[in-house]
Amino acid sequence: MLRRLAASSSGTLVAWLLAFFGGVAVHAFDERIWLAAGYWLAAAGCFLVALIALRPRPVPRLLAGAALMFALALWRFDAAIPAADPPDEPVLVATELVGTVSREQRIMSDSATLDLDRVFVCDRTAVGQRDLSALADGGSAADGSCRPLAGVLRLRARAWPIFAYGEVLRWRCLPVRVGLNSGDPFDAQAWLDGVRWRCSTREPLAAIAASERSLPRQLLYGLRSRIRLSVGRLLPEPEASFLLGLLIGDRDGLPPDLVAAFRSTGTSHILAVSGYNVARVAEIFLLLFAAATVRRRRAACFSLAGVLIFAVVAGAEASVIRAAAMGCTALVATVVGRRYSATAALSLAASAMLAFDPLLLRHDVGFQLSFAAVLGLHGLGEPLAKRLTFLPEFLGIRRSAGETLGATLATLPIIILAFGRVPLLGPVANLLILPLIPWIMALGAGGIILAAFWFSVGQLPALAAVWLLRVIETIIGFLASLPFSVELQAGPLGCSMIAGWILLLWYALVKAKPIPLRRPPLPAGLEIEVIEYGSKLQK
Amino acid sequence: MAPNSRNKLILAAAAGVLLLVGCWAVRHDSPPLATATFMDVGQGDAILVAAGRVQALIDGGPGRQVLTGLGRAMPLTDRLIEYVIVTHPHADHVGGLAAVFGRYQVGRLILGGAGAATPEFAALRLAAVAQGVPVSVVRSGDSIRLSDDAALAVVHTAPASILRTSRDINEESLVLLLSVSCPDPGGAAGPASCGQLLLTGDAGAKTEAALLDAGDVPAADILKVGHHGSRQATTYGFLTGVQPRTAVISVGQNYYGHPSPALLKRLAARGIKVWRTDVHGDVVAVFGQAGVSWRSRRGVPP
Repeated sequence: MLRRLAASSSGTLVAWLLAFFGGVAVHAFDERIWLAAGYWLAAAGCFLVALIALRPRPVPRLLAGAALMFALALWRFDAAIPAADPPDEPVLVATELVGTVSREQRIMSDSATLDLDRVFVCDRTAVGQRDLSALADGGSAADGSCRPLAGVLRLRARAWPIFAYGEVLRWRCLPVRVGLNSGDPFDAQAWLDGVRWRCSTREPLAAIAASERSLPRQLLYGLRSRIRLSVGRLLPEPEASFLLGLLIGDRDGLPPDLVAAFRSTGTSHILAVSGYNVARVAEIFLLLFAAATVRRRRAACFSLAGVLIFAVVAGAEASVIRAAAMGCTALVATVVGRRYSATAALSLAASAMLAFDPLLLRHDVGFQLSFAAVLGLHGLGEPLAKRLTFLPEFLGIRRSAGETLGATLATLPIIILAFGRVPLLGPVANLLILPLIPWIMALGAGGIILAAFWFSVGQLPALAAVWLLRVIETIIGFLASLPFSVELQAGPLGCSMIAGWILLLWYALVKAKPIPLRRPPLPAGLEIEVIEYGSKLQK
Repeated sequence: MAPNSRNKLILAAAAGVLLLVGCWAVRHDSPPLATATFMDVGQGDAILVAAGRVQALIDGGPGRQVLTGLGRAMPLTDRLIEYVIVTHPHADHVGGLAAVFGRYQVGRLILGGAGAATPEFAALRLAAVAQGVPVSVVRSGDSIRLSDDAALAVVHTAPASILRTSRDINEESLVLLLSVSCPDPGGAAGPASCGQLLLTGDAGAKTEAALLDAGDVPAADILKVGHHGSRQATTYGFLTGVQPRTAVISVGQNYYGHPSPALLKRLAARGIKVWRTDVHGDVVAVFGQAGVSWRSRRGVPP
C-alpha cells in the first residue's frame, strides 16, 4: 500500500497532508507548549538527511515528508498557543474605555454586540473630560492614566445607535477577562475571534473620532450592509433573516423559537453558509454560464471567481473557507483538466485551515461538524444510497437520502458530545427541505440584484422565495412539535466508541469484500452457459 | 420509471401544488372591519391596528422582535405602514421602531406630548428625519381616521412639546380609543358600534384618576391593560368606568413582577377574560359585523 501511495503524486500529497492533520490532532489533546521551534530544526535536519541519502526511493521520501509534515504541525500548534495570561493587574473601579470598532456591529433582539480593538482602559478620575481620541491613533496618555488592553474587547450595549467599522468609541464599563481560566463558560468561537475581554453597559456610547481602517474590509462590510438592507426591504421577518442566513450566514435576527425548531430538527446547518451552499452557488453559476453557451473551462473560471466572492461576502467563517477551498479545488480540477478527488480536496482544505489556525480542530464545533459532514457525505453517502432500494430514484431522492444519512451518521458523535441532544427526525427534515434551498438562494439573490435596479421587479422573485421559506418554516415547525428528539449524554470515550462503530460501518459498506457463496457441485452432465442479456442462444 | 409516466407524475404534482396554493390564496370569507394585533415582543408594547389596507403601528416594543410580528401581521406585498404612533418614548415602547423605519415605508410619525433623551428615541427621530417622514404631535380630542369604519381617538396626552424632557413619562402616555362602527345600512339611528378598544400605554393610577375626575373614561369592549400589568395601573375604579369584557396584557419576561397578582385578581373579580402575550404569543382581536372574535398563536385563555 505504501508503495502504491508513494508511486502516485496525488497519493503522496494526501499522505503528507494527513500527516499534518495527525500532528495537529495529537497536539490538540494537550494544549501546552511542547518544544516550540525545536521541532522545526529537528524535522528539517531529518528531512534533509533522508532526502540526500534516500532520494531516488519513493517510499522513504513519502515517509520523510510525512514526518516533516507531522513535526511542522506540532511546531505550528506550539506557535498558535497564546501566551499565558499575565498576572491580574489591579482593576480600576472608575474606568473609562476607548477603543476602535474592529468588526461589523451585530444587532440582536434588543441589544448589540461590538468588537473593539486598540482598547485603552483609563482611570476616570484622572482623565476627566479630556479628549482621548489620540489614543486610538497610537498616542499615549503621558501621565500614565491609561493603559492598553491586549486583544479584542467584546462589548454588549444598547441596540442604538449603530456604529460603523473604524469609529473610535468612548464608554464606561468594567472589563472582564475571557479565557480558559476566566471561570465563566468558555466561548471558543469568541476566543478564536481574538476576543480576550468582555464587558456590558446600558450607558450610551460616545463616538469621538474615526480612524483609518483597511479599505477591503470597509468595502466588504459596506456590501454586506447593502445586502441586509435590500433583503430587509424585500422580505418580511423572519424570512428576511432566514434568507440572510442562507446567503451571508447572518442569522442574528432569527426569532428564538425558530432557531430552537431548527436545532431540534437537526437542520441548523443550513443557516450557516456551508459546503452545501457553496456547492449550490457553483452549480447555479455553471448552469447560468452553460445557458449562455460559455465553454466549460471558461465557465469553471468564472464560477471559481463567483465562489470566491461568495465566500468573502459570506463572512469567511471556518465552514465557508473550508467549503470554498473544496469547491475551488473541484473547479480548478475542471480548468486544468484533472480528475477531482474529494479526499484530496478535503485534506487540502483541512490542512490549509489548520495551518492558519490549529486551535480550530479542538475548539470550533462548526469546523468539526463541517468536516465530519463532508466525510460522511462522500464516504458513506453512495454505499448507503445503494442499500436504500425501497426509496425511489425520482428527483434524486435515493441519492439525497443516502448522503443525508451518511452526513448525519458521521456528525453524530460530535453532536452528542457538543450538544447532548440527537434529533432523530434530522434525516427526514433534511430530506424534505434541502431540495428547496438552491431555489430559495437563486430567487433571493435574483431579487436582490433586480431590486437594485427596479424594486418592484425585484419583489417578484423575492415573494416566491418567501413562499418557499414559509414552506420550510411550516415543515420545521411541525417536525419540531413531534417528540422525536433524544437527550443523550456521552463523554469523549462514549463518543469515540460511536465514532469507531461508524468507522466499522464504513469499512463494512465500502472496503469489506463479500463472502463468496459455496455452491453445491453440479450434477454430472449438466452445463451452464453464460449468455449476454439480449443475445440469442446459438448452438 | 418511463419518461412518459414521469412527465405525468410531474404534471400531476404541479397541478396539485397549484390547486393547494389556489385554495389557500382565494378565500371567500368577508374581510374584517378592523384587526388589532398585540404582538409578542417581550417586555414592551407593539400593537398593529389595521383597517382595510391602512395600518397604524402603536409602539414598537423593546427591539427588533417587532419585525417578526409585523412580518406575520402585515400583508406580504404591503410595505407601507401609514401611521407609526408613539405612546411615550421609553425603550420598551420605541426600541424597535428605528428598525421598522429601516424595513418599511412609514407614512407619518405621530407623537404625544411626552419627551425623553433616550438613545432609542433619538434613533427613532433620526430615522424619521433620514426618511423624510412627516411628524405630528397630537392633543387630546384629536382623531386619526383609518377607514370609513375605524378611527383612533386621542383620549389623553401631555399638553407639551416633545423638545422638553418629561418628569413622569409613563403618566404622560398617549391614551387612544379605537372605535369600529358597523357599516351603516342607511337607518336613521346611525352606525352601530362593532367594538371599541382602549389603549392606555403605560399610564398609571394618576392618569386614570384624572380621566375619571374629568368624566373622560370611555366604555370599551377591550382594554389594553396599562403598564404591562403593573400593580399601580388599571385600578378598580378605572375598570368600573371602562367596563371591558376582555383585557390584553402586553408583557414578557421581567424583573418587575408584571403582571401583578393583585391586578389579575381585580380582573378575575370582574369576570374579565385575560389574554397575555407572554402566554398566548401574538393575540389578534378581529372586529367584524358580528362583534369581536379572537385568535392567538399559542392556545386560548382558561
